[in-house]
Amino acid sequence: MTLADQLELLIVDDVPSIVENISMLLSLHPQIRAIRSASDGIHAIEAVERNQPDVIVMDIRMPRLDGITAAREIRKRFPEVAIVIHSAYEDAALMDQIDDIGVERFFLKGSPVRDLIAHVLGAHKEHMHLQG
Amino acid sequence: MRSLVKIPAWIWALVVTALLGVTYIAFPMVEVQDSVTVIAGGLAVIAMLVGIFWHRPNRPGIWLLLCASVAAAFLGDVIWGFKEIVLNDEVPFPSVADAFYLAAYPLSAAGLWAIARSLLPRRSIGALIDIAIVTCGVAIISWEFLIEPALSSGTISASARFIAAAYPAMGLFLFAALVAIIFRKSTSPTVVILLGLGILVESVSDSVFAFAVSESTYATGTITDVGWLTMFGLWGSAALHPTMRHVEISKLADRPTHNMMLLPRLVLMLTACLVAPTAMVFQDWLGIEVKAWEAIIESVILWVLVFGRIGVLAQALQRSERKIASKHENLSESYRERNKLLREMVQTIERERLHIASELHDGPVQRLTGLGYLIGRLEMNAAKFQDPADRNLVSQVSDDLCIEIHRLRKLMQELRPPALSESGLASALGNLRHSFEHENAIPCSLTVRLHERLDSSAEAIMYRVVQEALVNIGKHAHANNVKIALTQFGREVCLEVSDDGVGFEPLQQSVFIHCGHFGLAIMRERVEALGGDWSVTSAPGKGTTLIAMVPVLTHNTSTVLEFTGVQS
Repeated sequence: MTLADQLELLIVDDVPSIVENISMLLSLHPQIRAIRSASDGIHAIEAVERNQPDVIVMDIRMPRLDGITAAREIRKRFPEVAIVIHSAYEDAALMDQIDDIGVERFFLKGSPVRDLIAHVLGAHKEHMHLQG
Repeated sequence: MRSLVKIPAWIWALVVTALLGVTYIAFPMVEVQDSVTVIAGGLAVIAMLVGIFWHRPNRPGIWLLLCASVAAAFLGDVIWGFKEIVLNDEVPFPSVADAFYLAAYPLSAAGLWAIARSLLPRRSIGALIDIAIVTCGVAIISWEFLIEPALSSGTISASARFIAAAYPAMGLFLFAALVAIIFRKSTSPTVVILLGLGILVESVSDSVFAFAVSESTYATGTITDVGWLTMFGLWGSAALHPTMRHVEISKLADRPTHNMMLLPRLVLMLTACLVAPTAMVFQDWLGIEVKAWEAIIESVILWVLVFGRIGVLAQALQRSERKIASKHENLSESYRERNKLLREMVQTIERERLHIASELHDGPVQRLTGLGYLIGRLEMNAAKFQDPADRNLVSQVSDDLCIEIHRLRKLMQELRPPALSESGLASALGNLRHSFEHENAIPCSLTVRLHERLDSSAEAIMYRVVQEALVNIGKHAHANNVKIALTQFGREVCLEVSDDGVGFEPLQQSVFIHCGHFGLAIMRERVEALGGDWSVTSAPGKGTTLIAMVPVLTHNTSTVLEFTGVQS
């Protein structure tokens, strides 16, 4: 596996333990090269400006700037970045907003980590396919 | 023989009285008739004393007075019989016997008025006027046709005229007491009937006697005497009846009707106004001299009593209206208080739900999620396990943990939907609609037209109403379509949930409560807690529509919210 096949991730969540655990778990996967983190939507946008990741795992409910608004902004300015929404709740309004933005994947907190890995890898693959 | 023993004593008294009456008529001899009358009187006195001793009445004084009156009449008959049978002499009119007969009246009146006084409500001027109206009406008739003719009779002496007039006059006092007793409905109706019949037959006999004496046509052995004999038997029977012990207790104690504008009372007052003119008509028809000034005075007396009664009724009506207004105000106050408590209760419930949801989130959910990450790490290293069963076990644990976490999160959402707090009612209802469609496969449209966000308790209540309504529709309605509409009209918000399902009889709502299904009732209580109005329209086969109209208490935002859910 080459460096080009490996992914750089950005984990965005306001709960440090979640960032730590997800980062730790994803770092064990051979296809994950680097993992950075941000604690809210504004930091997430700044992090993408500095080091464009391949995939962002974005929480929804965060202080200062929520995940939906940040995802919308990132999609507009950095369309090459794939986004996986990572939320504790699944409701119709949220799903409509996610569809609106064009987010690749949605992952419910508490689901098995293998599913998160599958979503991250799948989101990158689909996004690359769409980007052409 | 046993069946004879079972016959109550008061019935036996009536039977004996009947036998004595038949004997009186069958043997028209002075000795027999006078003896029968004396025996009847003596038996009546004994029966009354036995009744007092046997039944121990609440007010023995009443019955002793009545017994004394019967004893006085009995003594009068003894004197009469002694004069006619032993001394073989014609009894003059008036005689010593008449003194005893007349003495019986005040004793009877005292006893009957003691009963009436116990039955009458305290400070009941209205009831006394009613009695006065009836008694005056009868008194006018008695005066015109009995008392006045007796007093003006030219065929008997002055003392005889006075005594002849005294009988019907004294009878009026008994009649007035009887009217009072009948109006007040004693708890011993049989005793009242027996006493009343006794007074009635005695009054008739006295009236006939007065007329006959004034015409100098009275003689022993006529049907008039049977009336007095019957009176003895009826009063003796009354004293032997078991309910005589509480004849002075009224059935109307808790339901005062003396100041109610009842139809019989109105008929009574109208009849009273017509007594004097009617008496004039009858006098003219019978060829009796009509004294116009007498008729005028009689009419004036009755009209004054009737108008006085109307005045008392009007006053009572005013008092009732004031009482009703006061009670209405108290009721309104209680209702406002109740709604306030309901509102606080609903707010407390929502706070508790939020608290529990928060506790779940911060406690079990967080910890289980943390465990999930640990299991996830184990799963990442599971490839190193040699035994595939171990790898499967780890996967199984991971999946089961995930299921439990999702269940807890669902519970948290049900307790307090995050969208309700964060985005408002429209968003939360949208999620509810989506879940309903997903779980029940029934198309559900949602239309929200609000000018502003509502107060948090109002949002919570409206949310719960829709939630409960959708649960009911999912379980019972068998609907093909559901519509939810939330619309603001000025300072009111209208929530309407309708379906085209099987419907139900609106009267069944009380049956639902009786069977432990409180959903509709709870929805109504919640809406009313907001000061709103609630209505349910349904019919078998015609679907159901729930409508709640609540006043707007705003959330202090001015955003116009429009939200229309797509119908699947």
